[in-house]
Amino acid sequence: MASPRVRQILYEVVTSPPGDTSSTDQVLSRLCAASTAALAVDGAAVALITADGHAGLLAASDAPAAAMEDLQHTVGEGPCLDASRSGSPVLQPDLARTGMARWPGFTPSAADAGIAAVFAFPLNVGAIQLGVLDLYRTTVGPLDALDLAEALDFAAAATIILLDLQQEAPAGQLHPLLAEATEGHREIHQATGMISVQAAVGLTEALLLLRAHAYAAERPLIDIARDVVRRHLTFQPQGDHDE
Amino acid sequence: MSVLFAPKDAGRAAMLATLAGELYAAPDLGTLLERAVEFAAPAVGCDCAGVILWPGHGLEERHSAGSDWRAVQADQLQQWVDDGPGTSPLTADIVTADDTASDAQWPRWGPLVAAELGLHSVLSVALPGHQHRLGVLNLYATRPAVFTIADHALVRPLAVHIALAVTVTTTAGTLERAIASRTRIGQATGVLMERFGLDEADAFAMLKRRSQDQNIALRSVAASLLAERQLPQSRRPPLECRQQ
Repeated sequence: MASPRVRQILYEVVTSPPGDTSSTDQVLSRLCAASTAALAVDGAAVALITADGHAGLLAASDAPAAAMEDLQHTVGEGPCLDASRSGSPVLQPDLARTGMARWPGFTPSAADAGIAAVFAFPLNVGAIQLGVLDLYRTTVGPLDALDLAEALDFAAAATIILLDLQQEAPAGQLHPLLAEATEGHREIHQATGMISVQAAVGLTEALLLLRAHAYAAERPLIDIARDVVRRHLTFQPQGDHDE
Repeated sequence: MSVLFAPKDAGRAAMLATLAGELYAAPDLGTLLERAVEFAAPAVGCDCAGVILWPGHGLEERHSAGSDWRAVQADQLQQWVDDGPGTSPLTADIVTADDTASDAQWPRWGPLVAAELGLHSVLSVALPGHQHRLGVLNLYATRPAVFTIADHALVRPLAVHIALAVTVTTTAGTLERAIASRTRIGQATGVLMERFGLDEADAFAMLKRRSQDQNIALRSVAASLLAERQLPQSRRPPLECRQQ
């Protein structure tokens, strides 16, 4: 499964910096840093993504990389979600020009965060979606062939790290490190459940209502979810929900 | 690899690499097992092959596949008569039977396989796991005494390749299910919080108690609540839930 280059990447991120025995929670951060250094990109993030959507940020090299993930989770669309769903890389060398039609919610906010190009690589095993390696650049332009191959190797290394972590977990349970990443979404799930009762709608629509509210208020999804959970915000049943 | 393969077997190394590629590209565990047995029979040069994975190691149930109807039947016979190389731990990593009709290892299964399916030679190789064996790969031939010690050099790495791919796929499946469970439990907690005016801790406790009372996994209680939008056999929360 692992090519020599993938093994080399794993060796580097698991063992570096020299002399420092790595704790596992640093491994993915180092993978983000190593990919940013090795490729013509400015930042990288690794997120958990399943068929249900974004499930939590695992590591990000800098603030824009983290913002890129939060944004995709808030609006429920974006390159990393498409990459995960399709199982193929999504390459956007000029996001402002080509992204608007595809992700009208994601693209303007990403541009505001200084993201000009996005390259998203799925971390999939067969048809199973586990996550994504998201790379961004502040200037437009494609990844060259060498960088593309290298990025795929980084994605393969990230997949192996995820599986390796999970293998250490007690049977049937999520590894604590991965569980911690999903914890950030706990209130969103609870708010979704609450809204589904409040507005008498299904869970999918409840999440859409939550998203629409966050988008209209220009606030992160998690903030709105906390308002719902703390009962500062209540949704009402209605025939249509045009705010 | 050079230890395992004499020069004349270099083609086998390439074949195993091909197998590994096909297995890791399999969309799901069922397809992976189908591909493994379809590859194994011609690779070893026998008539058919079957694979069995035992429950555990991230698998909730037994999984099996056969390269043709005989292999599928041989597997089903094992379950019916509770005898055969996949029903009890193998006594070694590789066990063989020269003629199932008279072999003492499987007194109930062997004669049936010989008489009903015409499979006389069996080679069973354990699929190695991290701590426990994951299952067994069974190779069958119609003629007696087909398998020799020379076949071990191929079936051992074959079993390792299959076992690794199975481990990767089941681990990925466990990861995916565990994340989905947390989502469902969170959503179900939210439904109870809203319906009964509970805080998070009490709503979660309610789910948990239902799980314990009925001896159903928490994620299943959550899933059925979300599906039916009500806790089975419970329209109102117990009073202590509201007071805590």
